[in-house]
Amino acid sequence: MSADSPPPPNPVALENEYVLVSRDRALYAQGSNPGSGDRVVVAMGDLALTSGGAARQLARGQFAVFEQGQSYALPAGAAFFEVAIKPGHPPVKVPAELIPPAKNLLLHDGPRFFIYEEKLEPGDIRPRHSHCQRVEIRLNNGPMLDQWFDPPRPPLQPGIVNWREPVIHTVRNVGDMPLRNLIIEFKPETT
Amino acid sequence: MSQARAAAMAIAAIFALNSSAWAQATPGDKPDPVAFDNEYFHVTRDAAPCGDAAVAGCEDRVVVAMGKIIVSSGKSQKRLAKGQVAVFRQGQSYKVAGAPFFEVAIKPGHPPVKSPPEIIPPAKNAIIYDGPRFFVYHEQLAVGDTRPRHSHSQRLEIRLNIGPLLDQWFDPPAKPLLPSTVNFRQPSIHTTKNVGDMPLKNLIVEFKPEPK
Repeated sequence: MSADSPPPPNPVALENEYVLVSRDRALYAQGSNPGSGDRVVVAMGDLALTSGGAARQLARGQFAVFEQGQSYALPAGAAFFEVAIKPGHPPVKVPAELIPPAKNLLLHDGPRFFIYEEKLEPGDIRPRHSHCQRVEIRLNNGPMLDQWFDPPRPPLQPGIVNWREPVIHTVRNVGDMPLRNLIIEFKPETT
Repeated sequence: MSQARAAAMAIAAIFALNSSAWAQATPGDKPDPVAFDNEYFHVTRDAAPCGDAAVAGCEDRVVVAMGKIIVSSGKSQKRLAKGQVAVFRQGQSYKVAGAPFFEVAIKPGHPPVKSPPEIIPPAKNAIIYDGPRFFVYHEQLAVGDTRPRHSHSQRLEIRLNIGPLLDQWFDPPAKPLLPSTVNFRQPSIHTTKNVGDMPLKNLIVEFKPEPK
């Protein structure tokens, strides 16, 4: 028989050769930890983050970026994603043409990746544009069902964190809610 | 040729001239008129090829309004708003004025309906039609709410609340990624929770279990 409450969500929200995204836990909070290279903490609710003796308040969708050697701490029970970019990941894949997407909001511009809020109103079109590989964290979701089954099988958990491959495309929001995603996108590597 | 196969081919032939698998090539083009097709259902978007009851394969049908439309049948006329339906049985014809809408045609002679081993009615939904072979309801669940353990037979789901949803066109051209507003669901026994940020609201056409 299925349980009365859902099983706890998987603490690993996404993992591949490029990133490890953890849910509500900070595996790479210590800068001395092997593997603690570039990291982004994305708040999914209000939280207070501390780093280097300073406290910083983050609201849902806000984030903090840390480079190699930097440490941070998060309070117990906080809702967040820790995006750890794996040092020594494979070469970044890029599209055949680099065309900046219109209508988004750039929030961080670093040497190896940039972070932006991907936005698009219902009915609106984003003209032809391109992306490199990227992590997508959905901030607006619409109705979304978490399901657990009888007889038991792996729960069907909604994909809030997604990995996207390079693409050149045109998009239109045919939904009934503004698109709002936080995107961490790799920059093309210099050869 | 079986009656079911002949019916399916008759419906498919209606669209053979005007549709292709990659019909939506640019944002300006109209979407594919076939929203969904399998052995049980043929669902068309903003077209009513089964409005004439004399067309082979057009028996049980449900017109689902996705906006304000007028459905007329005989001397009666029905104004429908988004999410409202009109149900027609064998021999009944109709016309639809306006858009958007879906026409759901249940294929006569479809394979046996698959049902779960236990029938547990889902709570919190609203039945809007109850017929001998299928029923139609609004599947609804508020944000954060849980629907206790329940079951479903095979069913067609039309999403009324969607959230953000991207239609995409690729370069170089690839099969368009059409958002899944219309879905077919297999039988299940499950518990569900709306972990999104918008109330769940779907229109469901669900088969009733067939007598064994």
